[in-house]
Amino acid sequence: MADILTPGSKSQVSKPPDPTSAVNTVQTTLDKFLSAANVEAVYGAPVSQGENLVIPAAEVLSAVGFGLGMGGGSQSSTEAENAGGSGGGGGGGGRVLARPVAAIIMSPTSVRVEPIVDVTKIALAVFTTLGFMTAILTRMNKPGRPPKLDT
Amino acid sequence: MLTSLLRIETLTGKSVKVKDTELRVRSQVVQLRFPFISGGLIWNRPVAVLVRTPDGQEQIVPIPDVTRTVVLLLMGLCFASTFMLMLYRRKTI
Repeated sequence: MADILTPGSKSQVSKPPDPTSAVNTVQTTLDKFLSAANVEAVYGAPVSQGENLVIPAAEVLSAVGFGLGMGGGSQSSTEAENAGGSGGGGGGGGRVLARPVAAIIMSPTSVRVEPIVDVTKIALAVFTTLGFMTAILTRMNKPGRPPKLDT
Repeated sequence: MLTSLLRIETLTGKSVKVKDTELRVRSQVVQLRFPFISGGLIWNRPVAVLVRTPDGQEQIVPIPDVTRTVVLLLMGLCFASTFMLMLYRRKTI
């Protein structure tokens, strides 16, 4: 026979899951992510090519985000016995973008930096700018609206 | 508060030697931590190379980012043209 809860009786609330472990996991991941901000992330391992040494250099942009949420419901006297409960959830995401910037060439006599040009990116930017400029010029050549006359 | 949210620092790497020439790489890190959510952003870019020759001379060779310079110039052109349009419209109306 099921227990009947009378008004004033103590409701049984199930214990919500411990959020500390989840928060700790997120914190650890975030700390690991932030510790990645070092020189090794930008410069690659030196490659020897004859007497020369080549060090590749890249720009690295990384972003990460987490979110956690949890809650619980209390069992009231008017609800069913299994109405109380708790739940939680979380999610996260991140992205890393890397783009080669230059190559450092070290010879026994000199050190020089050879820039690496991203032609695709520049071409896209040029086309976008040209489109924008065309739109601006078209608007400039369009006659303006005649002023409204008050009646 | 601001220092914990935004941090900009220049890091120097380990030295690399070819014969008697020593080379040290430098990078700049911009760290941004979002205040209300767990997350962050890290922008890591190469800045310069420090060269030390056998005779003790030090030279800093900057690393130019040609792609970014060109893209920024084009973006500036877009902003300038918008500004010109605004001026032109204000004069004609």
